[in-house]
Amino acid sequence: MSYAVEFASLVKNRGKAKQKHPDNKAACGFMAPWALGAVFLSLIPMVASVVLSFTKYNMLTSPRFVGLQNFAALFKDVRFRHSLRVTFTYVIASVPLQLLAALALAVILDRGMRGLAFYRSAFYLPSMLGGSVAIAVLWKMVFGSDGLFNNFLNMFGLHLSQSWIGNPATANWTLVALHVWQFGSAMVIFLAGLRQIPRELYEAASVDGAGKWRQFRSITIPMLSPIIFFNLVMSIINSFQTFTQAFVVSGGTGGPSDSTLFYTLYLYQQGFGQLKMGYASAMAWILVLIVAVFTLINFALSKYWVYYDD
Amino acid sequence: MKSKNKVIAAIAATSAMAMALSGCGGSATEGSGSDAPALAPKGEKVSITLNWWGSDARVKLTESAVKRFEAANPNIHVDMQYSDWGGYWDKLATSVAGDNAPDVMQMDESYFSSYASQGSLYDLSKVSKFLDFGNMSVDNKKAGQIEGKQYAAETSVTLDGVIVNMDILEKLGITLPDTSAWTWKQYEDVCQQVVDKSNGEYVGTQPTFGGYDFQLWQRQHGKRSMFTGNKVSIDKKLMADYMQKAYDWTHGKNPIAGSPDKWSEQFSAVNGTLQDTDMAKGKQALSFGSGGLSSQLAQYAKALGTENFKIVPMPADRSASKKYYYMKPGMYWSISAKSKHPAESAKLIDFLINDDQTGKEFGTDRGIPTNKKVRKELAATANPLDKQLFDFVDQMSRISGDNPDPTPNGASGFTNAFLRKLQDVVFDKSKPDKAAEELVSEIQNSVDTAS
Repeated sequence: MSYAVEFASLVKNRGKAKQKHPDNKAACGFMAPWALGAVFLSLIPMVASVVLSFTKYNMLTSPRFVGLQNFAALFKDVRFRHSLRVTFTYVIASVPLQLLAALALAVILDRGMRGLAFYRSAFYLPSMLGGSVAIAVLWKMVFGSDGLFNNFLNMFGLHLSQSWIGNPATANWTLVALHVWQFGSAMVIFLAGLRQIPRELYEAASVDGAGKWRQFRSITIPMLSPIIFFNLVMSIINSFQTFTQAFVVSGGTGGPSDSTLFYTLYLYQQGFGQLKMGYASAMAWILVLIVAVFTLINFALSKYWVYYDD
Repeated sequence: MKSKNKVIAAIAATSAMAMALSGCGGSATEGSGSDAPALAPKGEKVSITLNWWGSDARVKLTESAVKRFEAANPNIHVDMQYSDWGGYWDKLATSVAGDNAPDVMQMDESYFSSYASQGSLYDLSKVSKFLDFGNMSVDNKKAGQIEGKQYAAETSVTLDGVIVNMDILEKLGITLPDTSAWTWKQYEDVCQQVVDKSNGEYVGTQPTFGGYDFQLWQRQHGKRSMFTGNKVSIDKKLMADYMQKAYDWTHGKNPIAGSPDKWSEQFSAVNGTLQDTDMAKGKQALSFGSGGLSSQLAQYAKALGTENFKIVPMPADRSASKKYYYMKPGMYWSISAKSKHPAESAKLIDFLINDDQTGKEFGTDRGIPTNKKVRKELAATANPLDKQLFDFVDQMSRISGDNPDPTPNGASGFTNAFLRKLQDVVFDKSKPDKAAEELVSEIQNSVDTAS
């Protein structure tokens, strides 16, 4: 929460920051790589994609201005709507599940067990690897018909030859599982948040006769709510952008039967597969809009449940 | 304030530099600008780029050929870049858009027309002095033309046929009928025997979704081509029948291709790692080559450590058109329209398709070579498996007719769309009639909005 304080003081002093700092030059030097990257690798491509979204552009010939045609075509595109459905299912299922898993484990680990550092790292590991191609390939094997998951179920006498990846009814859920499995980074942030809750509150509560559950509900959750809020916002933004996993697991097709056709994957197919860059740019901006709306709703709702203690 | 200006100045300077760097690539056009490009003057170093997709084996073969080319042409340096199939097309489109397309690129039938019709490829007739088409048939030469212009040199053709694992059939005591004229019914019978006699330990076959397979199926029924110019001429009824076949093969009691789940896994293995297919694991008896016949055969043989395979034609009903078969263009070499060294690039292509040593080394890695001399030589020295392959080429060329029209601009996504619709059918999400109808209108729409 110190960054918030720092930010507030910056805002307060923004009129007075006239005096010259001797470190300014060095600071600019250190910022230059970031600034260059931000301008050339983010800002300029973003502006270009706004322009391209109003054109027809196949990369082989120059873009041609077509006005709002791309956007109009999008709303008639069945697969576009389908990709939205797939993505929303994924986000709505995986975000709460992941946060619950992260919170539950953070609370357990926070009780100060032996070997905490080890468990913390062990649980954190998947989120470092989870977005990688290697894990997606692994996932494909785990949930294949001869995969580990079926072998595991076999131990309980369930003899399945179902392919969880190969069947359109379950393929998206294996990706949800993959997302939930990467609860580590949210968990670490929760852990840090839990550490900041003053112990006196719990002591006072237990003196007043509050049980563990009551303490969790009335102290932990409200005190942790800014962190939950932060994790929620980030997790929603991230899962809307999920690409690699679906790409690898489906071999780039979004299959079987379009069951893993995530928004970003469809965008990629349109841009690089069909060489419809204008269309893909239009899609990209609609995604920006969707994520922005979700984030705004989150912020609007936050004042009803997020508790800032200041 | 001053420091801020400096930062802005620094950014401006860097961007100017970056623009200058990328700009100078485009502006320094050499050559006379006339229609007949010449080689660079002696002693002047020339650097050209060569891009292709393919396996590690292909990388080694190509590198070795390029090394010999450089030794023979000491003033030409070749920069090589390669990637897998999927990454290749992303990169190629991006580099064309960024004005730094490779001078020489490997090209595929499904994209050829897109690139040629958008003016990205060089007309090879302008450099015919350096690139000899004399060793390939007229049909092969024509396969590299779009609207009469020679945009590519066809380096190989691919075949579709059925690969049979004879070990499995012999083990189960199943005999193949006369495959030179076998029917779909007979094909399904053999597959059913495999499943029944092995109690489901082996699967018979798997449904395919390749454009080539379907094209042949449609040609058996008297329709020459899936595309007529920019019009999708897929027969919806035939498409629905084909999809129904895939459904029948994966449903009912003891289906010959296993469950839909199984098939769903198999197709992604065929597209990805061939070693994971049931064919490569020795658990499947018959399989369609779908245009990758020669490379699949080699990999199955390697994976199973046996050469006991048979290559036989796709089944056809008695009423089938006599000359339905055709050999699909395997790969092409093309030159970028923006190439600064078309003459040197043409020399490189000439070396890759006409040099004897190169032809011998490449073998059938890129498919069956179009170069007749090379083909003859390969056939003479081939191992038994490759020998079968070359005999199969001869056998099939007797029932080959006119090539179908090329895949038009905008239809390169056909295979993926076909697969998706087939999955809808096999997983009971759609009926064949409806899926076929949707597929045709989707592809037509994609073609109509492409240009």
